[in-house]
Amino acid sequence: MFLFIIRRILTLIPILLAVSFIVFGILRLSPIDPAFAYLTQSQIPPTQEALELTRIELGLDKPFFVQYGIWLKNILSFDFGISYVTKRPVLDDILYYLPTTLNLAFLSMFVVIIFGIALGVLGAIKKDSIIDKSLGVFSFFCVSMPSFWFGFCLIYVFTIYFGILSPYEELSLYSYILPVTTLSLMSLGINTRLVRVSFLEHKSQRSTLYALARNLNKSTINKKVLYTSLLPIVTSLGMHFGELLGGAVVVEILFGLPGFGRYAVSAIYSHDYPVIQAFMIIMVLIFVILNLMVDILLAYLNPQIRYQKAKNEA
Amino acid sequence: MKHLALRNITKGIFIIIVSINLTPLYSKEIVGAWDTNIGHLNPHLYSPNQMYAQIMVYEPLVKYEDGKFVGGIAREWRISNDGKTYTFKIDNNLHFSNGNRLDSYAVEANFKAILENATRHSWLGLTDKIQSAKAIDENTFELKLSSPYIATLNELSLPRPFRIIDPSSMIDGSTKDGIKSPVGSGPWVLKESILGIKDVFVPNPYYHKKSEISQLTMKIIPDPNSRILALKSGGIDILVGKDMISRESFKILQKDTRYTLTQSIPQGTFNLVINSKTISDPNIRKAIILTINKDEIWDKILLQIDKKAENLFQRNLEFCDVELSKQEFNLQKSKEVLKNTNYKNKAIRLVYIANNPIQKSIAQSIQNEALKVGINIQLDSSEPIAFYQRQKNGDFDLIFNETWGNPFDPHSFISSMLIPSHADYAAQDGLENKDIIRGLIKSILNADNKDKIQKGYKSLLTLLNNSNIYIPLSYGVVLGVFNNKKIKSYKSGDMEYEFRFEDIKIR
Repeated sequence: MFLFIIRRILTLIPILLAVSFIVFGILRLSPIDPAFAYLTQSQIPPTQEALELTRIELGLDKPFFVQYGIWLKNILSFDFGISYVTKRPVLDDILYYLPTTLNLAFLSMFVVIIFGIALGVLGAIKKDSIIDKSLGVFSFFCVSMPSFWFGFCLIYVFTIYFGILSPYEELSLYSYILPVTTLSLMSLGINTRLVRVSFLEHKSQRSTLYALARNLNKSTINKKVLYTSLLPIVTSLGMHFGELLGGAVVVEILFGLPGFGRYAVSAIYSHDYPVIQAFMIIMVLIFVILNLMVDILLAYLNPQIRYQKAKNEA
Repeated sequence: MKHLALRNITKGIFIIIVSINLTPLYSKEIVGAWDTNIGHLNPHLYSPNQMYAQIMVYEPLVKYEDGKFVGGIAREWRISNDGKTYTFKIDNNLHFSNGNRLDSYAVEANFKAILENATRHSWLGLTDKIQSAKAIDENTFELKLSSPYIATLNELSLPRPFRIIDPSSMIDGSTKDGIKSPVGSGPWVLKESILGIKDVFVPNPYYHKKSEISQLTMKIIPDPNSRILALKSGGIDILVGKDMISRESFKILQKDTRYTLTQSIPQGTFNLVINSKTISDPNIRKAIILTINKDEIWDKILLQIDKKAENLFQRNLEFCDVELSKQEFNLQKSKEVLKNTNYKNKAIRLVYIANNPIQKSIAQSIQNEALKVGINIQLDSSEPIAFYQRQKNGDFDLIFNETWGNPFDPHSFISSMLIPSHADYAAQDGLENKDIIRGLIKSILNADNKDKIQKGYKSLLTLLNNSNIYIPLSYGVVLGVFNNKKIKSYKSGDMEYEFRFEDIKIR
């Protein structure tokens, strides 16, 4: 198991290196000159002189591979450069904005896990009842409702109509209630259905029928079924966390939250290379770490996977 | 140790008592919104410094008000007969917000810092013309130019870079690499700035006019719809700025008695430009112009909010009151004009900003009308930065454009026509008389005689109008809305980014 983890961590290095080159290269393929973008944003007429001066200022006058080498060397020491637009170190900005996005994603994940499992199991236990059918409609609603529209509806109802939970106040736990509800909606719908199906599938397996035939305690059987049916859910939740991080962009913009997604979107809009590069690398890092964690968790939870890994390692 | 603890407790109690006493019985705090933080608030630099905040914190030598130049830091000024020397009398009772004296030596230190970074400001004609900028005595400041420059006062009044910071806030007498703190003599002082959340301003105690507001908070809300929701929920009291409110929201809020809507005086001219290099036949350009139903566009798309435009510059601008032939909408005439050209249904690219619904709707309307006479207009959407890059490179047949507004128009704007950095240069580049136009612009900018300038403008505006490359649509305004419950009155400033929050009357 230890060797498996080490090996997986080592595979991250070439992945990140390749991603770094692709990200850096693709941005340079863009027909937009970042020096021009900077001048346009600053409302300075882009004269030839101003463009040349800005290119030197932003370090864009050097050859491509020199720029890449400098950037790679710097990011190894966690120096992501200076934002073209905010003129602040990108790392400082990331450390400032990332916690809001992580809070948002983790809180939403928490909601998805708790309510997704509870509602999914409820639907499975009450299969074909009015509760199950209502939960089906609820899941359908969650999946088909665009999050920006749902967010606007929540703001209208809770902020304008009832006058509670104003989203545009100082950042506090209250200010997360509406954004988390908006963000978790789609994953909640998917996971509710997934838990239900997985639970029913495992419940109809021979081992469960045998346990029932042996007249074992029903709640013990349900617990066992729940445990085994959660294995595919772990994989799904791993993927959903990434989706929540991506979805956080819309929610942050809508609710005015100072998050990493909002920061990245404004950087994309202004062709702020250092920020876009840092954003891509960090997102890839988060995704590969999540994958790694899911793999480890699955190996830990499922003895069959553990056995297979051990066999492969031998 | 005990002493230290006791001292800290006493200090704490003292601070609490002092802050309680300083807190007004009735807090007159106003909350607004902006899409991004104000940045470092360096008066002499550009992004990330926000222009509206630079205007709030720093003052210029002269201000632009009601189409005229009035005293700012300078109480009065004199221009020499040859138009090359400007002598400013500095108000002798001025202070920065930290209590330091603002005299002509402080102004000189600022000009030294600005000119030290002159290449950054090379887009302004004035930077190139300044020969010397020095304090004659405490209250006299003299600016010597290498040749007369008509836009001197215009450019001195801009939000940046010619605004004055306390020299003690500069780093080693310079501002090009940053400032220690934003200390100006304007009506507002920056209290705090929290990234992505808010910027807070308080009135400058040394400013000559007392504000009714004790604190102004600008919340950072990037989404326009969210800003409207924040206003409706009472989270913000006032919303002003060019792109802060959509036209649709403005129209809806007009019917709501809880809010008052405001509009600035007309700013720049929103227009369409035809590229004379790619559409070299003036008759094809004329035929296109004849298919544009400006009245319909103004009525149905621009929602009759701002004033309909006939000329490239508003006629009430100095030197711009020139009678020009009007552009008409006449499909029949367009067909006839088109007959005398060699136009063979070639697609004409109309470039617009993809996420700008106004531009898209206008483009569709133009496409539809042009089709009726057999002109094939192809809509070509671009993301904003790519759009401006295409303007600069002349990569368009037709493109939306805007003049720069007060106080750039008309002098600084015509000056920009000489540099290959905008749609205007590209659009004029194919004209047969482009050298005459450029020569006229140069002579206007360097003229020292009002009659000569007026004559020059008459010829220039007539030539541009007759070249069939400009289609003025409207004179844009800056929209605003405020909550009647909290605010009694607000009046927009004269420049696009000038918001006179200090003049707000509250309930």
